[in-house]
Amino acid sequence: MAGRIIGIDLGTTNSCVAVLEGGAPVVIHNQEGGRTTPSMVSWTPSGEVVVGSASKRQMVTNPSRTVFGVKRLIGRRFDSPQVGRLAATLPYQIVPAKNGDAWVRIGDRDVSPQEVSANVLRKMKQIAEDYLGEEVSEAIVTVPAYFDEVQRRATRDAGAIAQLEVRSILNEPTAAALAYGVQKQTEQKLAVFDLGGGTFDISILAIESGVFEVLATSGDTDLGGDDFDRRLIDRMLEEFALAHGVDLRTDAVALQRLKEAAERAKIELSSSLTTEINLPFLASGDGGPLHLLRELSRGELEGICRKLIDGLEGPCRQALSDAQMEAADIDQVLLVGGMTRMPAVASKVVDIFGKQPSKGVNPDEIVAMGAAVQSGMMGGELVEVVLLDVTPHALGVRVTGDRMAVVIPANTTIPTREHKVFATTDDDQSYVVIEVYQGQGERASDNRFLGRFVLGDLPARPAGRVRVDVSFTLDADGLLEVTALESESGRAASVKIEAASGLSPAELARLAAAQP
Amino acid sequence: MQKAEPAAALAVARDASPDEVRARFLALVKVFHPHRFARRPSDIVRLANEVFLLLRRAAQRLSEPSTAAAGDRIAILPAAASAPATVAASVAARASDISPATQPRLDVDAALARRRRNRSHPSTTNGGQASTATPPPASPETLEKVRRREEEQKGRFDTAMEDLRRGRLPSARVALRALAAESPSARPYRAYLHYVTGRMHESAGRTSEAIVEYERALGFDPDLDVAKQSRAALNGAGAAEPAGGAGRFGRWFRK
Repeated sequence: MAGRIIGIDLGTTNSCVAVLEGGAPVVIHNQEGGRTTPSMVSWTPSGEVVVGSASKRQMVTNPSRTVFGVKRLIGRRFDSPQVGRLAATLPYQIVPAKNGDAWVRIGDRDVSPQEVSANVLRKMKQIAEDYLGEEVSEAIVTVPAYFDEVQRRATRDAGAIAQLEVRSILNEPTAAALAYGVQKQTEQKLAVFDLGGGTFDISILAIESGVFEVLATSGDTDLGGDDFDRRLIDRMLEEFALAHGVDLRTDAVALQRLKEAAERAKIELSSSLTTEINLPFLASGDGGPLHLLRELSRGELEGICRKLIDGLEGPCRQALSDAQMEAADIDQVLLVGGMTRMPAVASKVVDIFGKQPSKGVNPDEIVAMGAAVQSGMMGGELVEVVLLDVTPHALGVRVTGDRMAVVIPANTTIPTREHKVFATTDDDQSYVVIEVYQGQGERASDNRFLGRFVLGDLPARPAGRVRVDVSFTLDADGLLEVTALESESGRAASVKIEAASGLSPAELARLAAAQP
Repeated sequence: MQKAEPAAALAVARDASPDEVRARFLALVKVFHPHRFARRPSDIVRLANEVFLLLRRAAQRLSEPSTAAAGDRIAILPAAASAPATVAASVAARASDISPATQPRLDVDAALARRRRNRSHPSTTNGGQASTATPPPASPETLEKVRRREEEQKGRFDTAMEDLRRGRLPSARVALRALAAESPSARPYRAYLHYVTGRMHESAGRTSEAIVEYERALGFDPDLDVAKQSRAALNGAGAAEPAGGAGRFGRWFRK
């Protein structure tokens, strides 16, 4: 008899776990009574691993060995511009792995983001097991809708390391729509605006006859609450440097204190008009200890973050356009993610969509609840509801001139199968190399490389006379299989595209076994 | 399984309306979505994926008036006389330790451009016996053949018009297409063909494509009132998508 499938919102800043009970999603609180758990992992000097609130508490005293926001690193390469920008601001060290992925250095050990996230997932698993009184081995884990194949696979691997079989990688806005729509059961067009700690997603869905159909999705995997914090931190660093001539960027402890204070101030200013940032003994100068005491108003914070707030509009317009809709066609807007509590963000949403967002949606919990709803769909408890999601980025093949020939356009409903016929470029060309990329760039090299394979023994013909039919099949979990067929000879080759980076099966097995 | 007739696959009537097709598709999707089989063995999951793809394809074909035969929109190169593809079992790919610089590349456009330059355009007057051509002096037998053929075409045209009146747009279109292909210079066939295509776009919510087709229809027959009216109606509505049915299957096949 199969056990329960739990739903986990693995957030950049906080994670949440929920299960389906009596057909309704229920959020499970942790031992400390918290309904969310910080997505933080620390390695104490004695080698102990500490996860969640306990890790957050030692963030300031153990800055180089406390990893937070690892969702911004997972599935990314060390040499990517996003990681470069991030590395400069983090108190813990980012290093390249052998395959070029971004890993974290803790003491003398290099740790993959998958392993860090696995610790968080394991914690959420334990929370669920404590509540349910039974073992849990399967989960639905959510990711930003705009995550690419590599990031999704890395998240799935994190689950495997935590000894969780990830039954589905579910898009966060879709999960929120599920949780919301399942309660309401009305036909409508929904826009889900999800601004979390590290990522921004906007998805447009149609709910009809119990079918939740994603029409379009857009976003920015590099825009979230952390960026708002960083703007504020940068301002404070500037001011401090001007006032005291001290650059705090090299002081890991001071940076962590600033980060904590910035986050707290930002949250406070969602309900108050002013707040105070008070950091005594922040640093020491020639004349003795230096303190930071500053008032901050809501207006000033909005000014500091104005560009970020304005940057939220572009993806929304793109999603509406891709869904072939106007803002007026949207019946409801859902706000998901803690950052949507910022008044300036909420009013930006009203500007864009021309309506007030729906109340009664808990922005911190609805994603996990949606994951629990999907677990019901997969486990068989919920049969009146089904989900049709889309692939967020175009998938295609690299052709001459480093151009991207799209085979599956962005926002295509999955599962899907498309094919395109290509021709050889040289006379008597004996093989073709199929290189698979994902992304919106016109040049293939601007996009994410997923894998390559070769189709050989082609018949000898003049250039252009050999036709290779390349077929892309994306299954319901977004796993891609690519087949190439040369029609004259019948030669065929295929490969299940598993992302070119990430952990090898051996590494995964070793890490999973090493978990307590 | 790939060859199943679209209407049969969805268990709808062949002339079902887009709404009926969609309702049926949604009902089936609830039962057959691969996620329903998530806990079954992987070969069942694979099968479920194939079934879903089949249903989806069927719904696409029934809703979108495609201007090409099935599979045509997929090929980029013009159909050449090549041996039918035998779908062999997958062969393991060779390891690729070929340096990128020397890898032969796949190229769509260059090959296409070359082929287009090398081909001569096909003649446009095959089979046409209509007003614009000056036929050679005809024998009585030929005239009789022509007369019979025109009568037979007229019969089919009348049936197509009847279908159109009754809203059976796909059947009307098929007939008009055949007529237009047989007599390419017969402008009424072309005009109505574009008009009916426009109507089908319109009922699927694709307003801009519909307007394009109505314009084309009027290009062949500037006095075609129905096309004028339809175009005016759409332009008057300001290209707004009709509610509740707008572009439902449009996303299923973006170009």
